[in-house]
Amino acid sequence: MKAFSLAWRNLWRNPRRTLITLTAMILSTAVLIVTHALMLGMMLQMEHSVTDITVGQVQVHHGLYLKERSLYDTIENWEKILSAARDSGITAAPRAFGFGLLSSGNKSAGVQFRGISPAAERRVSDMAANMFRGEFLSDRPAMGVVLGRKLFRTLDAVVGSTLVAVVQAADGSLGNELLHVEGILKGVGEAFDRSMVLMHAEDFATLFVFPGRFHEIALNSRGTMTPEQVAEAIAAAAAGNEVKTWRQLLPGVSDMLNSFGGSTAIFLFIFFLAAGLGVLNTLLMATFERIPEFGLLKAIGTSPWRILRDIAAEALVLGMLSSSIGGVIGAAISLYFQLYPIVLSGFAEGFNTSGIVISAQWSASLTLRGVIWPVIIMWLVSVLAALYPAAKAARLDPVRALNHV
Amino acid sequence: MRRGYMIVISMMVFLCLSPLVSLSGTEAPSSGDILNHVDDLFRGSSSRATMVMKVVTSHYTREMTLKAWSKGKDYSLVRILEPLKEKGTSTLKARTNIWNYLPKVKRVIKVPSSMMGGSWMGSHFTNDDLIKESRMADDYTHSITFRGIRDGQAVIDLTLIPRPDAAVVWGKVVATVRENDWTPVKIDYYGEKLGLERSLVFSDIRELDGRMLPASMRITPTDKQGEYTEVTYSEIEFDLNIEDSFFSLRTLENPGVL
Amino acid sequence: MLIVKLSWRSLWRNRRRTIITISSIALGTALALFLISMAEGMYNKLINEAVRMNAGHVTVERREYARAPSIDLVVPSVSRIETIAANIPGLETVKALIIGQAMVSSASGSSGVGLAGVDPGIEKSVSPLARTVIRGRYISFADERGVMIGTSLAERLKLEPGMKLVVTVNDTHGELANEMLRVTGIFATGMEEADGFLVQVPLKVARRIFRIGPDEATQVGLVLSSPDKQEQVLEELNALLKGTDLAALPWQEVMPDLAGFMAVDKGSNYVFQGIIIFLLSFTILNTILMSVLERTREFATLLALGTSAFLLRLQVIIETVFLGLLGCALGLGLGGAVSWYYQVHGLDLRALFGDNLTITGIAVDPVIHNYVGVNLVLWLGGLVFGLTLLIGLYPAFKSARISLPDVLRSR
Repeated sequence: MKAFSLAWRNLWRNPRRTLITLTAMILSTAVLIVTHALMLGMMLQMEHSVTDITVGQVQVHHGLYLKERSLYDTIENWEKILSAARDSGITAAPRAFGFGLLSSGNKSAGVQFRGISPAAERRVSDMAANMFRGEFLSDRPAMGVVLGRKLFRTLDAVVGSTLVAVVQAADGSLGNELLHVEGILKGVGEAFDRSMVLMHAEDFATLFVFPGRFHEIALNSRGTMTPEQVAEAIAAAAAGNEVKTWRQLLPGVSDMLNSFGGSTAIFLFIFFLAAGLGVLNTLLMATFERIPEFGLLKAIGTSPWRILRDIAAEALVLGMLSSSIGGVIGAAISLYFQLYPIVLSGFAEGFNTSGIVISAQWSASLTLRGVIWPVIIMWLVSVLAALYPAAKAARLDPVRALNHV
Repeated sequence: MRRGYMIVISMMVFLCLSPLVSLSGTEAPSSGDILNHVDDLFRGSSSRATMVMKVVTSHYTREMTLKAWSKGKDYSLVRILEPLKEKGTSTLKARTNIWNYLPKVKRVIKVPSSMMGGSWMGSHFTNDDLIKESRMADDYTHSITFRGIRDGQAVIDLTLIPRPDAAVVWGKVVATVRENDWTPVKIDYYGEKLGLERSLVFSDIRELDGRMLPASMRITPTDKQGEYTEVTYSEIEFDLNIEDSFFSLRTLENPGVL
Repeated sequence: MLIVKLSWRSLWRNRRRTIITISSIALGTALALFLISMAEGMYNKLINEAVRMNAGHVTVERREYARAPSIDLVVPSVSRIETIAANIPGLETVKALIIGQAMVSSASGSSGVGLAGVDPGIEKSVSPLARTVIRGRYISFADERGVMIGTSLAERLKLEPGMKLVVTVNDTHGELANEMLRVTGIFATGMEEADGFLVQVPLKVARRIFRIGPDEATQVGLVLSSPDKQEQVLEELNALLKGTDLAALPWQEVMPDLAGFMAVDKGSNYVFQGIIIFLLSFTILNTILMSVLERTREFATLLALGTSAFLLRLQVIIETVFLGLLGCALGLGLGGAVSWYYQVHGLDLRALFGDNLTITGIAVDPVIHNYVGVNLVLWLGGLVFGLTLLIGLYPAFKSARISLPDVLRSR
């Protein structure tokens, strides 16, 4: 303890030097924490934008559905899966899919009809909040539809248009209904934008003569569990069906995120290197400057070990002081950006590429790890940067050290 | 979703089966003669028929009563009479286009190319099958590969191999006709690896509008156990005076034309 | 001149200090250069691949096409566009595209798909379809009936390379048309939309199927060798196309999704660049401040010996110029060399992260190539040098205002 109080006093003998090094370290620590939080925030946002817009973290299908896309490959025990999800605090949305023709005047398009439960869909995904025009489906079946971002152009439709749906129904008849456009979604992903038609599950059942059957259950814990944990939680109830995480469902998107994560890690490494080197240089300069002082100490009989110990103590005090102040500042700034996202461009709408919707709002994500690592690195750097010149000084003969410039 | 049963569909929709050709048993017929005969069955004449179509799949069984008009190979119109729920649902084929009329929403919908592979009214026929022209001699090279008694019946087998560039999915088609009057008995469709993909069997040869015809034909896909579509004619009239203009969108939309 | 020499010598009187300062500037510059060039490289690659894969930096199409794409909205004369484009400096290639809807069937079934007519020569080097061929080979110009299909479609229709596939389309006259094709190769991009629902044929085959003239296409893309020329090319083309029903559009309008993504991602990247430049300038500030602090005694002595304040300031400024020049040169040299190495050889993320990172290489190439442009080197060098000078002004100003007694007492 005595060594530390001595170190404290020593530090303030040259307040200007100490302040410069201290500021350098505080700033570097804070910058590293903020950078880490921003990068992590971007990664998480990307993953969430995949899982939260439509896909969910985990999907359940009949074992053959994804391969064959047959209307008849529906999920067994879908009610059991829904209640298992509910028990684990996971949101779940059942969906029914069918292909058919949607036409408006002389324009028509092959589309995928998607029967959903609007209330469940609102919990699982952000689809309902992602409207380009009009409204999302209401909870009452009324033959309303919500179209994909590009489909409405193909059909030359607007909110309020009446469209004709023609499908091959489950009983072999030619299912047909008049549908009303209630809304148009924002861009979600190429395939979705071009061909997706959302309708109430009960309207879907009427059109396809196929009540109470679903092809997909999308599950999303909304950030409280990993996809693997979600899959685990409903595994027993979903036995006999195929359970896949979004990374298994969308390997291309998963690749893209991983590659983005890889380059982010390299970026972060460069930041650590730049900050560490900066602090190292400042500290080296500060300690080298004091070599004559160490010579003096040696001349009056202080042992080299004692000198080393004192310098190490000073460095440690500096490190602790700067990392705690820097840590607090960094955490505070990160927290600010977590609560008040940075707006990245003038565009209000988000963007998507290969199924990843990039929001123009960028929020940080503060974690304990993101604070601890910069702090540890600053400690290491400060002690290293102090000990090297100190060791050199301790070995020097006092006269030379005194004249060292 | 099957396709390319040119002979089949033409038969089903146009219903102009052979005005029995008198054949001299002494002359050895060539495969070309038989094919021309089969092709000629579908040319020129017009018809009006009532038939029952029964579809059995692993997911549903349905039975429809249909009324069909045809003229040549370019025009046909089919209306559903039963079941009541689908009454009036109609399909018009004019040259290479198909339209559906949906009485429930009172709309006419043109079937786009991307939906051509879709099933026609839940049967094992696709929309594409309806419009396939009969081009047997154009698309295939053919030869007689069997002549003799099989299952107690004197038959001729014609084997048709698609020409290299023909827009035909099959690897081989084998048609079996009765030796005496060249009435079709069976047509087998093979895939490119020469596995049997499906077969069409004709039966119930009886007199309709003064002609002896197979009144019933059944199509069976080999990869779907127990599934088939069967068409049985209950009534048919040949060589009627129907104008080309009958096969118009106006007629299609007019449920009064029955 | 004497003062310059004097500054140079003074700089090397304390070798250690100078080296530390220069290395601060150099390492910071090198790291910033590497980081920015890596980000640039990633963007360049993204745009490069996207424009080559799709419809070029600049796309010529019918005015109505963007609103409701349709196979009968064709550019009537591709060769005319080619002639016009030939005079444009910096043009790399002109690619014609035909995109339409079709039904494909085999003996085992049928499926609705998107059908793309492409120039196999161009596509071979840029398209992920060509890169991920798992069976057979990619289509070539000579294939009269060649078609590329995805692995899911092949599975559904039970198709293998060499087997036939019948394509049914509504041609430009609205008539249904059939055509027999043979599977040349099967691709696996990992994207279900492509693997299950996209087929690619040589351009001339698409023209034959859709009954499009030999000189027509739905889109004509101009790929530029230097994207900076894009605006100029657009203006020139649109001036020439004035009065016709054709329009030249930038890739940002043809691919708004990608443009939006880039805008957002670039925004985040500017934030990171800002942070690293902030770190860099802060380090320079610290080391220079520190060295001035260390030198108060030296300055005091010089002033005591009668050196004029002006000369002392000048000397410090010239020293800073040297420091800045040396630091920049070293930093740009070092950073440039490392970045250049990765520009040529690429940085394989898989090798770097091992098992912690799974990239199959299907949709994304896991190798990052830096891109060091002359512009980047110039502006970064200028920025760092300017910063160093600016930071150096303070100690220079301060150096001549030292109070002699204070300094002597402080030691």
